Amino acid sequence: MRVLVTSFAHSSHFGCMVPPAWALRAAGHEVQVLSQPALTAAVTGAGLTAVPVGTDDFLAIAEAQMQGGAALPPEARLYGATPDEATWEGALGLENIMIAFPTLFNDDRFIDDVVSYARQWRPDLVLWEPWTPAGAVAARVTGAAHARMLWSLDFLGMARQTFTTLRDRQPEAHREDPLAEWLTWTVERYGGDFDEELVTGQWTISTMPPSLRLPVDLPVLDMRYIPYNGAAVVPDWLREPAKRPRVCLTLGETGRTTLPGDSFSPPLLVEALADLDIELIATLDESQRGSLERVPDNTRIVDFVPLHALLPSCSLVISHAGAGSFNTALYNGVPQLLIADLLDAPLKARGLAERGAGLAFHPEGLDVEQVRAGVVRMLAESSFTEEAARLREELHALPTPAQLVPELERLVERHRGRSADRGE
Amino acid sequence: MRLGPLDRPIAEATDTELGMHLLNARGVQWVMGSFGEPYARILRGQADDPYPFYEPLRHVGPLMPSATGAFVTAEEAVAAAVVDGPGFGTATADGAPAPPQLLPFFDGLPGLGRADVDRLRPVWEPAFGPGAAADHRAAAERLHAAALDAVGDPDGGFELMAGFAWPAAASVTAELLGLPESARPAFADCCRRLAVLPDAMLAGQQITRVRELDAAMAELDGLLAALPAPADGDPRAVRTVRTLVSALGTALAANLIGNAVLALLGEAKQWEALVDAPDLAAAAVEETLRYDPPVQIEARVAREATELGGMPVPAGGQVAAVVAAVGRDARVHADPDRFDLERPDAARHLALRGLHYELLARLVRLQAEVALRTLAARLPGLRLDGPPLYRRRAPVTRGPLELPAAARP
Repeated sequence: MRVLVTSFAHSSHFGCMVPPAWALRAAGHEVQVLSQPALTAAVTGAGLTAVPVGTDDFLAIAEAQMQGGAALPPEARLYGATPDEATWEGALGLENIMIAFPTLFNDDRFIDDVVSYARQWRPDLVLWEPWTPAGAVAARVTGAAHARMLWSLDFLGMARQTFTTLRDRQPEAHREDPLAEWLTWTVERYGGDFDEELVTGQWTISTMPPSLRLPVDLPVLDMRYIPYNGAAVVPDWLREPAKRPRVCLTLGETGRTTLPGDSFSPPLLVEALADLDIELIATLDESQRGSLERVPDNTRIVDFVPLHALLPSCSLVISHAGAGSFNTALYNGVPQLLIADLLDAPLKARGLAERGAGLAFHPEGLDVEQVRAGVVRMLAESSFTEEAARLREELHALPTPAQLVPELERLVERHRGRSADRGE
Repeated sequence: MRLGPLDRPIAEATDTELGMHLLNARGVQWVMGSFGEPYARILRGQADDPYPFYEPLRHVGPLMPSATGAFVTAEEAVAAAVVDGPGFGTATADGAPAPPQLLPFFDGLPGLGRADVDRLRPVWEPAFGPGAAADHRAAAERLHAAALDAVGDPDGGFELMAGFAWPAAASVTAELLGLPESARPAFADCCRRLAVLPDAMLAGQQITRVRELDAAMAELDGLLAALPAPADGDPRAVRTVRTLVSALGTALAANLIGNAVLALLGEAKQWEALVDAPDLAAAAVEETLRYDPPVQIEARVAREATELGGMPVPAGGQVAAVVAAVGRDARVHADPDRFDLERPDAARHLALRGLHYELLARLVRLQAEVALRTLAARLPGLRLDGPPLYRRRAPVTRGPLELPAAARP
């Protein structure tokens, strides 16, 4: 069959979709990846076929928004809330605010191109990143089966479930649904009609250990997460076994631009950990390196390191709970100290901390000494490693992408068919 | 994030252009409100009771430059200077919509300045000026009574807005405009669909609602265009006056009726007082205009650079006068949150003042007064039969969407 993978140009979200794309390809299926031009190198770097569509204009807008103040309004804390924990006004606010993301990533030009390519290439299955519903629209128009492929907890599905539950409790005159409004006029442009599948997919592929997942009532297909964090070369220093507990500090691109504060920043943390008997591998960018007075003896500063090569030898990861680092640490059973601020990250941090496989901090008002104390504790207490190992076992019990291919083929047979192009 | 008017007529915008414009406005206003910007919080329009949201405006000085792009006032003297001032219109000096207004004006309902209202005077004065008051009263008394007859059995409960206030108000407007009977149902329907128009100018609405608004305006235009034109009137002016009376006047009357009934039934003994002394109806209308006016915010545009509340306002700056907040200001009125038919200074309010209200206010007040007299005489046992339902995203207009009522003989 023909499988179209659609992801807006975000390399770590896309990275989570690479192993299933390989599995499908290796099973003899045709696979092509539709994204904006900015992702082309990442797609071809993964050995996959890229179809660049739309433009990269959204990247500059997104960057300007991040720099214009990364603070999210209080509604952003509602991710993960049940209908009993959220109010209608709060849930509606979250929808009204967060719709800026998918509408920015899926502008008309991008959706037009995705639909037009799908009409020509005629995929049997579309796998779409949760913020790339252009894939769902294209599937709806052409009659392909389609699934939403998660890179995190299903915080978006959970928010949608809470929103629709609260929405349906309102008097008719008070109901509104900005996401449905947008997808309605969008799919109608191609003669299709809106239904909830355009938001949630015909089914959802989740790679999270089941015990960590949010209670979202959607059909889910379990898949083992397989780490792929980009093209990788194992550096010399990584070819030696660690002599002391190895700790990876990676705050990601997000952390580099939004986390530094007065009492906490990655360079400050490096200095605070200098006296510990550890081997610290810290990914710092140019400016952060510049603000380091010295590189401590126990520290190795790197600009980039492939986490799937590094983490198997680590005893602890300090991160912002981004998609690649969080999933790769889970896969390797490494305890995580999470400084989590944005979107789904606090949910992941809380979930891991509740399980005893990590500690969760919020960057606001965070002191570097608190983090240092957390590192010391996590290295001293074996329970963190034991719990992380249990989660690793849970994850490894899920079928690999290759094992899942026959199931995907069956699901495509079942779901394929309803096509707006054929007037259905 | 600067909000401003859609840069083309609604009908010429694609769904994405119009829809994203509206989603963006709603999102930006929502975010600003969440970060504590008090006027953005008001524009969100998610509460049945907007009055608590006006309180913060009383602590930001006489004029607040809001992050939304508007200057906002809830101060009596400043708001009065804005709604009544000759230097303020609903559009810029050249008639353009001013940011952060979200939608362009409609052909039949252009932006107005003082001079425009004066220019329109020969058109509206004969039909809607003081000299026509007796005719208006006779028409309202007859048509409101007929509207109430059509309710059927009010003892069993009825919805007072759709069942009485809207048909009563629309039938009077239609009669005064001279619409044929056959056009009146469609006319009433258009008026009701257009009720959201003032809200849509300031607060981001759903795309379907704005398309509907545009369609209703076109349909109304068609109905009004079929009317005979006065021999000596400028056709554009005639069209503007008729559209104002239909699209704004009808909704103002219906909402004022709803608000007055709700206030009278909500405060102990006020309805009974009206039933005992029907001549209190005019006072009830005035107190409603103070206590719960049908337009809460008057948006005006400074036609030239000026100073207001000690602050410079540039030419084309939009000033939002929250007239409903002035009516509830304890510095202006004693015990402002109490609806009181005996209030000596009830007429000290800023509702229905300035510009187009010069031609609308007389009829709006009359309609409300006659409606109250009619209800009090015919249904003295009127009572609420459930909580009223209010629209969302309606920070400008105020009136129940549904007002469940019942009458006991």
